Amino acid sequence: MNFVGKRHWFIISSLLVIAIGLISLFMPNGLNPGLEFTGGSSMTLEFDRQVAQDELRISLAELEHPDAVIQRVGEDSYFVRTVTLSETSSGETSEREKILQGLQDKLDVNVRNVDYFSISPSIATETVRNAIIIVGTSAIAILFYITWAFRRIPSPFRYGFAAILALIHDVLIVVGLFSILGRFFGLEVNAMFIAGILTIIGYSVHDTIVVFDRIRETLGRNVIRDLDVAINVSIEDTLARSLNTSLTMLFTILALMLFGGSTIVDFLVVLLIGIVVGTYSSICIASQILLVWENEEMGKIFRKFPIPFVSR
Amino acid sequence: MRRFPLRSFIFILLITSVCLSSLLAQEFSIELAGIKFERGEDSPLGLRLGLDLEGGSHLVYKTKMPENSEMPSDEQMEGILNIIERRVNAFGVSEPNIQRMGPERILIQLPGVGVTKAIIEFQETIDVEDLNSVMTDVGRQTSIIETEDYLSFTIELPSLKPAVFDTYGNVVVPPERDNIKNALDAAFGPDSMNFTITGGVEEAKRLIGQTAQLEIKERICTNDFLDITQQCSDPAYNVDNDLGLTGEDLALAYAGTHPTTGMPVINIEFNSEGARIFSEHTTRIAGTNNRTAFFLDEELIIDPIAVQAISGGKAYIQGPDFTPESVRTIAIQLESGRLPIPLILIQEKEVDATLGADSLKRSFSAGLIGLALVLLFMAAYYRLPGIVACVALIIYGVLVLSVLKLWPITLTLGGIAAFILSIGMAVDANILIFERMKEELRSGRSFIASLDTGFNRAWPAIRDSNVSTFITCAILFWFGTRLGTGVVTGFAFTLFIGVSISMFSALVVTRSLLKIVAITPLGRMPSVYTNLKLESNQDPRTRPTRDRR
Repeated sequence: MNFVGKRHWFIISSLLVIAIGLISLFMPNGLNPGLEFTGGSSMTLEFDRQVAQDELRISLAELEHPDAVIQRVGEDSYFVRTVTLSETSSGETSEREKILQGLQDKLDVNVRNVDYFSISPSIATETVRNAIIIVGTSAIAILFYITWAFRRIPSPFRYGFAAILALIHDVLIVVGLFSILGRFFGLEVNAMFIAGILTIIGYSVHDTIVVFDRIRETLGRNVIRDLDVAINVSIEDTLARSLNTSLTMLFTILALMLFGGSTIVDFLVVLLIGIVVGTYSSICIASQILLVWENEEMGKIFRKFPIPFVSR
Repeated sequence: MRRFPLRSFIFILLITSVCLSSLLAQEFSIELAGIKFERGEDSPLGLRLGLDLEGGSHLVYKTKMPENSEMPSDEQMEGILNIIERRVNAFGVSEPNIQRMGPERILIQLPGVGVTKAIIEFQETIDVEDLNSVMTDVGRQTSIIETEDYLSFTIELPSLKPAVFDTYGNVVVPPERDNIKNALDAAFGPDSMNFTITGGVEEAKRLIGQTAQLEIKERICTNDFLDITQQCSDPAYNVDNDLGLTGEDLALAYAGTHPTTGMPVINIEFNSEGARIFSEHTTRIAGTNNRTAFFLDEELIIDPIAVQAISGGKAYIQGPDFTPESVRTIAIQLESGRLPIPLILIQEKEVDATLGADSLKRSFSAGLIGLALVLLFMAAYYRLPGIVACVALIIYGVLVLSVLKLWPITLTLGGIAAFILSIGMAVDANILIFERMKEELRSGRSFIASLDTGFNRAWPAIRDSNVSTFITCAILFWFGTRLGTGVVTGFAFTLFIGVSISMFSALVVTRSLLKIVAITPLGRMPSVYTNLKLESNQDPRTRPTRDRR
């Protein structure tokens, strides 16, 4: 198969998907920030009888929480999110205890507080900053490592840089698609989402390096001198591995999604998209960037196309 | 023909059986050269479970330093930890975990949720009325008692009273918990039940929210009879008089050594008001057996006598059994009472035990199903090497779980996700190697020759890709504590261990097992290890592309 010759198609379609994702991202409510990013309190409540969502909403409004976000999570259970509930230092009842007691009295049901999570708003801004630092630092560290690992072949820095571009490509597509999916399924950006993005970074680079390693080897053998041919041969040779590995990863992730708890669904969605995109980018983006760079056809991608595949 | 790889085979066999037995033994303890090694608990495989799997509460506090001041020092943090530990332990909840997290945060984990509850599991069903009357006897007549099967009871005990100690650590009033337990034993027989206290989160929060109180009092022994250390022979005769001297009057407390003897001492300095009171006080008690007693949160830290009157507000405390460590601890305690640092609760997470158990069960079965799918795929696609890889993967799973247990690493949902992901990475190493082997086979080499070449060719890719994963893990771990949730650190650490072992699994386990297979007749039957039609007489240097084939 000729992958190299279709590079402009790959790059343009990727840019298109990224653009759609970015549009969704920058439209209002681009992402549903989780508690870690906004601050607030959330709890899952289990009632011992059926309670209508409106009933609960009215009761919570009467308990001075008209803005509470209510989601049904089970037959008799709801997920409730409010502003950060304050704590008390002395013997009085805390705000949370007031809500639980209040609901019990108003709705005349037994309420069981299955889980509770609360985070102060002051920490939330810190979380955003730290998340950006983590992603940035990882990218730079990986850039240096790849440059070092490929030091024996011409222009090793390009390999590092191309891997990072592929990584940014993956992250942008995942975040963009997550934003679009979030509009329909109410997915949330939380600490696990960040863990997911970081896993994707690891996986994307992992996958890209396998292809690059093959290019390194092919060029090192000095049989094939043309970069485009070397790249195409390398992609073909690693294709089975790339697809099989993603397939096995997808098996485990799908099993977790279908049979695992709902607690980490947001994380799994990130992984699912990320692994598909990561595999795609290692085949169709990362090494194509190398070639585009080598041929200095950055600007030509849109003007002069299609670019003929330079055959041997 | 190769020799049987005896050494690596024995090594694999040994390490696998050690790991497997460590997993199968729920709890064990080994004592070797005086170092006691105890692992395992009452959970599946004896793994240590995080609160999202086991249930419990997770509180994160942050120090609130005065405006324009820096981060708290290590000594200040130690002082805060010290205070919290004493407060939470006195309260009586079982197994609290209190630890420092990053430069200015403290993590407190409690095993239960909500208010304090007693969980009583009887061996035989009992009458609720009997239990009710016991509770009335111990002054808990209004307590809510819940049960479904008349075997296991939950009793809410809000504001359970801690023990009261005198200044020498003797129990003056036993904790309410013991009272209740004793009353229950008397009523139902001592070995008829399992009694545990959980929860206490609301109470713990109230205790932690309080500022530390340091008070300095004059201690007089009203009994003439003193024991050999010049202490009151019966602590009940001690009377503590208020001096009006508190932590606010103390200017500094630090550990040091005596200028001439070099013995460890605690230096204290009072401000001017404190120095005046202290001077009056020491003038009065100098040479007597009256003591200067330092109380932190009403608990005695130290009570020296005064050798002479001390004016000027600077003093040191020395003692015959002081060590550099003990004076440091005391100085930190005094300092934490002198300048109490308020704490703010920045994060709170509580998970009910049933929800945790449900998550664990679901993740576990999901993991098994995922693993089964992967094994099926590997065996179907790669045939004999695939089956060998399956064995290696099962060994891999045993090794990772065993490391998690022996380290021990607290397993959270994030950790389970990382474990499952690392299975993927372990599979990848095998796939990389098998694809390379296939290429070698395609170019007409024998099974054994292509095995070695396959491993060697796949190594750079495995190395480079795993190193980049390690880099991500390290950075994740580094910032994980700052992100505020244990989820990220748990994920990073488990992934790190998983990927490390995956390299061992692919390079040592799969390889040795394949070598063993290679010397059997199976090694000479092409159809069991590849589904490709072999093309012989090809120049191994040119790679056939799929177009041409």
